[in-house]
Amino acid sequence: MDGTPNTTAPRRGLRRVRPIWLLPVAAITAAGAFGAFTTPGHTKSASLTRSDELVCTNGTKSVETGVTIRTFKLTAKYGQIHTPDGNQVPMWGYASDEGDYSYPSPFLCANEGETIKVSLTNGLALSDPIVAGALPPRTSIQFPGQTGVTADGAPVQPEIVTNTAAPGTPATTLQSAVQSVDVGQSVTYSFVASKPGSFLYLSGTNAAQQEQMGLFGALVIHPSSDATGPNPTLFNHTTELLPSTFADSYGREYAQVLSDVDSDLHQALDHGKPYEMTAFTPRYWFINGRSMPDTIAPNGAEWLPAQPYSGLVHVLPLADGAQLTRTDPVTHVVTNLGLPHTVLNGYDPLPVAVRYFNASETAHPFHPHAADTLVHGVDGAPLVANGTDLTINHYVIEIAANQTIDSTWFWKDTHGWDPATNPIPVPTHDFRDTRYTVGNSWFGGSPYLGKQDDLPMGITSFNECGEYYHVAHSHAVNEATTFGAAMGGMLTLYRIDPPGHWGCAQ
Amino acid sequence: MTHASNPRMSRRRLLELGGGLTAGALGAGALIQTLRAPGSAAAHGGESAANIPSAVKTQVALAGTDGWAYIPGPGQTGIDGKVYFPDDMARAPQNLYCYGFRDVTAAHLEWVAAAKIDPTSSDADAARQKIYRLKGLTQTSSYIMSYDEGDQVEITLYNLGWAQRPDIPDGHTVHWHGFKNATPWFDGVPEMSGAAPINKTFTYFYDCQVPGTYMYHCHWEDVEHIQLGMTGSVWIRPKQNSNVTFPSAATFAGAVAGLPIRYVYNDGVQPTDPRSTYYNREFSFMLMDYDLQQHQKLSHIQQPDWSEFHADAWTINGRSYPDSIKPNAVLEVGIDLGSGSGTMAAPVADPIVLGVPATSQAVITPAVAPLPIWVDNMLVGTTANVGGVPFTVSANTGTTFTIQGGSPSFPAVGSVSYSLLDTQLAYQPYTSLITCNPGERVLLRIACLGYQDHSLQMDGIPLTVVGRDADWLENNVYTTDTIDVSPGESYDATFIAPAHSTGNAVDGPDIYMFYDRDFANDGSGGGTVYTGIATQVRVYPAGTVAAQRIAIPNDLGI
Repeated sequence: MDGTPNTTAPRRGLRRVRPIWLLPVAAITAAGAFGAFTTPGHTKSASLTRSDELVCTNGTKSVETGVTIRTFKLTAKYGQIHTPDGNQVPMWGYASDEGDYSYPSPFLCANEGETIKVSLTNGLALSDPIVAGALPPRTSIQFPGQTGVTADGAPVQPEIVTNTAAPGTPATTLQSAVQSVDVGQSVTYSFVASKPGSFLYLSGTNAAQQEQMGLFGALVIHPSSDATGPNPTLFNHTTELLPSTFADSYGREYAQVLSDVDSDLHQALDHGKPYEMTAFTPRYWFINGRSMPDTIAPNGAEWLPAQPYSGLVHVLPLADGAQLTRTDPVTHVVTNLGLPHTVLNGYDPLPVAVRYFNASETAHPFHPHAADTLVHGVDGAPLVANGTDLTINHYVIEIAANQTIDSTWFWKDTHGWDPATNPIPVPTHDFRDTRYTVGNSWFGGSPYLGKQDDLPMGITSFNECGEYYHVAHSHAVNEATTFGAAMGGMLTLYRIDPPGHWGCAQ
Repeated sequence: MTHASNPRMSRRRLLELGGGLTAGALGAGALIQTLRAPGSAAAHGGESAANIPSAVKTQVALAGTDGWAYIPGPGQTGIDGKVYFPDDMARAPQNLYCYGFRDVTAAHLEWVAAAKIDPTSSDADAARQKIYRLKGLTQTSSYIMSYDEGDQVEITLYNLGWAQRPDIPDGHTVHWHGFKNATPWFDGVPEMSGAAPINKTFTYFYDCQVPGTYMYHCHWEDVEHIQLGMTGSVWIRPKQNSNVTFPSAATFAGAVAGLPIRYVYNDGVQPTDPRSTYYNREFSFMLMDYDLQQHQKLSHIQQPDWSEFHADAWTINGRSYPDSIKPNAVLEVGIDLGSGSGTMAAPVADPIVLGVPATSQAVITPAVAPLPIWVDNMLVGTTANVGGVPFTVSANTGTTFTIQGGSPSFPAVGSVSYSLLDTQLAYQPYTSLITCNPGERVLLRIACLGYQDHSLQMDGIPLTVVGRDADWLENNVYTTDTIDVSPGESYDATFIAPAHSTGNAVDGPDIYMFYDRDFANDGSGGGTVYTGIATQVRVYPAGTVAAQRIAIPNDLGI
């Protein structure tokens, strides 16, 4: 397997060595590296110095004549990403004035009912254009799923330009699905966030190539009734009348933006050259702009400066009787609800919310292991009709091109295996009779949650305190590769910590 | 649920048992050496665990290895001008390099029984040889597993290694895809747990709590091992089947009276409810898409680039049409104990299969129910066991094999002729033919472990989808002509068999096509006729098709 970290982390053998967190700069101190992404709200899990939850870009909030306005300032510009095989790929994307270039573009978070204003400046630039006279392209932003969108106050409309009469040339060209701007120009799009859910925003100009270049991001609109339940929910329960009340409650909130990259296309467009889309051949597949094993690095990992978003989903089981807290999904401010948590079976955590965004031209059948994914909404619409609950469990979520899915993933400790009181009823082998993957493993040597045991010499374990790791990946498994090498690409881990050991802190 | 209480084997306990079993002749150290020495009768450590009495009732053993399969289709040449299909290294009559799992449960249980007495005995060695001689003789699509809700299943996975690629020391795992496994240990992802090393085993525990249609595959170097065929289906049948509140035979209007019925899910509704999941017969379909060039690269010690994946052959249950409508390729052999000179019963076979069997010796009261036997098990010298009756293959001409055996007082002798066709499909045993009588409700358990979507349609019969991804659709039950199956998804679809047409040949079935509407995927190897993912529904005159035998997946009943 490629993508083996060039870490010098100590190898675990018969000698007990406390493993160090994975990946090339394993030795850095987490708090310093990720401080920029540690919002005050994360004091909920003070021991979690490595942030992996959804990182919101909240824009600027203002109130004008009683209307709450949330303003985001984005600039389309050039950037560069790193892939686990050592490659670098030229990219474009929307950078927020709150941060640098990122792939994917920032997660714009807002609350239902707010008026959203997104100002876009076209700051694209070509690298060393090979084609004489090549100029950076026009660009724009479209907001699929939103209604009443305006551009500089006028309703968004397709841009159709009249061509110079020439044999074989059509009379007009659809230049952009919405009003676009040339390099150096700006435009402001506006709409009311009328319904909660998960949405994409992306270029409406030559979208097949500009989305591929990275001109896309996710828009998360939290429901207005969010504050009424014991925990945040994906949708409103007062208006959508989900009969399985609060089944879409969640403890922690994650986003998984799926995308792919044909590095030849990127090279061509960055140099102002044309690219024939029938030759489109993705070589890299991403979750939140990263390929496995980068997907599991924390938010803001400093060795991935243009890919700040973690793809790890992290489940933190509560101990029985623990006080329930509620984290505001936008501000991350934590409120202690004063309610004791009752363990259902073993130590079940709350479900985690996972918002899927497919920012690519093909459907991806995404497969989280270990538990079902309950799909509550598609394209921001809750799965409920005439008061009937239409949510269903999936073990594969087929996410169509540029579609979004609102879901919860509920890992349960189905058996509560315990080596003393409830041992696994079949032989669990001596490590000397078991094959491990070459080099590295997320296995801690024991099948029991919170336990570690010996591994053979030569295996570097990234396991910290007996936490579980399950994979989640595209089941078009050729996409879970990095330029053809397995155990890469569109694959990430879902991590379950032992209760009381969140982030493996004592 | 109940938890089994036997503790894990400690090394001390192993020594105690082992020391006793070997009559103290071996010192503890020597025993360890015996148990661990590669190639010894008791070589792999996993097998030492056979000494532990398992509380898990349902025992299954799978063997992962490579081999060769057959698909029809024209030759394929790469851009380098070299032919990559058929594979020039293939063992005729096969033409495609594949991986897969073989069911070795019977031999494994023989090993367990013999090893409890003496793991170094010739009996133990013989049992072990039955497993290890399958190296290079894999099955694709692999063994269909079916269990009942509440069953606890222990799967012992043997890794036989590659016959064609001894240079690759790959492990193997069993990942029950879609199954809710809290611990990674039984989830089969080697980076998150462990795997079976070559010539050793790994033991899995599955607690069948949620009914539905699942699948399994190897997760080691997943993109390669799945693509080459380490794929199979798992069905878990619901407790509702034994709940007297719900009928076990059709008694309601619109159904064929008296026919046994089962349910896909614990739907809690009567069969007349439109959301009901009842059915009379079930068939399972594993959809795959092959990139033939990557298969050929692997047999030729070349490294595939999976970002170049480009499917050019498609299979259903491991076969391409028209092979897909041939019956199950396992011979079903019965040995008659009542005559004093045993005979082999004619296999239950569809007349369309060529040459199975030519022999039609008189069957006098079969005392042993027919059981599936593999053609490739019939190598000279092979000993096999049919329903407790041992026999030996004394001759195999390539078209006929002869058996001898039985017991001293009742020797069983027989011969079966088989055709080249059967040896072509010797490693792809599962039919995709759907046979039924008019009015029966037929369940299709559809799963896909290819890397493409497949858009299935049944010409002339609407399909009602009652389940998906091992979850009852309840209020989402819908009727459709097309089911788009994505990689890793499962669908439970039903249809009511239409009336048999009187205008047809007197006894001939009415034929309905069931195939991939992405027509390109019906052309295996770029062919111009229907091949690939395509099969048939055959509706026979009422009462023609016998009830399915529950132990035989995709049992045709004719």
